[in-house]
Amino acid sequence: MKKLDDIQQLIWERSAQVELPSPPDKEEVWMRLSQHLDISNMNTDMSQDQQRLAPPTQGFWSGFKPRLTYAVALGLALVFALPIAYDTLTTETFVTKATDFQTVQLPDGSTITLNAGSQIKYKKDFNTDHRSLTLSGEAYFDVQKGNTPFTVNTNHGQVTVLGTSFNVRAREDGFEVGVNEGIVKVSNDAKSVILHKGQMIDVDSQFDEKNLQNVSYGNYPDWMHEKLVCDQTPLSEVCDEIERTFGISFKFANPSLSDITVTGVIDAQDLNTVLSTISLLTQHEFKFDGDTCTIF
Amino acid sequence: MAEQEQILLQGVKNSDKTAFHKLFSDFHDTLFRFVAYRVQDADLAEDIAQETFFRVWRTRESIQPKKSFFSLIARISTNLCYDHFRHMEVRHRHEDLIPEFGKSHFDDPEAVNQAATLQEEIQKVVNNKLPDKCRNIFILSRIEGKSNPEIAELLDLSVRTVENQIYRALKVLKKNLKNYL
Repeated sequence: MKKLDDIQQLIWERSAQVELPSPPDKEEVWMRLSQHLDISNMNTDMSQDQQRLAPPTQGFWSGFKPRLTYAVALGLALVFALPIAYDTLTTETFVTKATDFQTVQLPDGSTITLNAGSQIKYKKDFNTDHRSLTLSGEAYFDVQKGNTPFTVNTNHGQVTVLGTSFNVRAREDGFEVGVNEGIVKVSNDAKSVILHKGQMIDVDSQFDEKNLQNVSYGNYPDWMHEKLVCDQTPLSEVCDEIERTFGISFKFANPSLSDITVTGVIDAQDLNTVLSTISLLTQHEFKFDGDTCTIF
Repeated sequence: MAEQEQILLQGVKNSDKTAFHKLFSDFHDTLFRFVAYRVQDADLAEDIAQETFFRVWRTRESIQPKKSFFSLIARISTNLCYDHFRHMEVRHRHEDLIPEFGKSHFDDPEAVNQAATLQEEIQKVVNNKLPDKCRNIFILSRIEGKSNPEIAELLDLSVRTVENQIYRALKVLKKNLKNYL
């Protein structure tokens, strides 16, 4: 397990002390369930029998039916294929691989800086009656003021603004929005919350106003300033970020290593500095062979 | 173990009732406790567990034998729990009662004063605040006492994912239990 503090330790121990009712006799439950199953089997058998008993169709229709099915299939195929074709023709996509950064200028004059391993997509009619795009990964937005709201859609929720600078991190392991300038609205299907300059919100917040945090360090977001800011961040998460930024991979000589947490600001300009800082912060040795870094 | 499960699932897909009985025996008690933790009612948990297995059998043709069986029944039973809570909420709405689930108890100072044990509060946070995947992992770890590698195999996840989710659960719990600690 990861290193837990006292409170987490207490919660961990207490949470196992639940008294649950003991399960009912398995075989008794199975007998009842088994009867249900037989009844439901009988019903499906009967409907199959009815199908079998139905008079076979003959003549004109039996010859025509397959052709009708083909036509329907073709029609359906077209119906499904069209939106995809339409989508690829009308959608603009930018993707960054590991180690890649990319600055994208949008039709409305806003700029987006994509962090490594990220993707944005928007329709070619962007800025006509909408300013809406989809992000997976992490990106910094510098949005031009305008009358149409600027919307970033992610798997975790939606971020809406009129004109401002903010960072969105929507990776598999978490979601985070932080605001450098202006006002930003973050929402999902259930809730929404307003963020002002200097505030941020993360995935554990449930989009609740009480859980707003302040951007705790200058130069936010860290990756735009070639820094890696860790605050009790699990080593595994830190390594994922370094893997994306520098295109290397990590190995832990001992699986429990991934549970160590790291706190500190790491200068992310070159890999050697990063690795030696990590080594210093975690008090663990590492060996680097060109593309794999093993931590002992 | 995982291969055996796959063979049994293939059997169920082909309407083999003996294979289904075996899976039922292996998973019934775990599923029962899993549901009981959520609904806190033995009879209801028994009903939901039975209905879950019944639905697996009814939709057996669409089973994917390579996917983890527990993930499947966890998902079905979770949906049945949600259905139940929704039903309760509708019933209570007109009686002006606050539903037990889905609402936060943590804002009301009176509720905090009358606080039951920490353990019950943990259970509420787990049920109300954790995402499904995180909750499933946490319950299996704490109630079933399963180790991280066991959970990883059961749910077909990497051990690291399991560890991260447990860590995340503790973080959320700590944040939400501030008033009790």
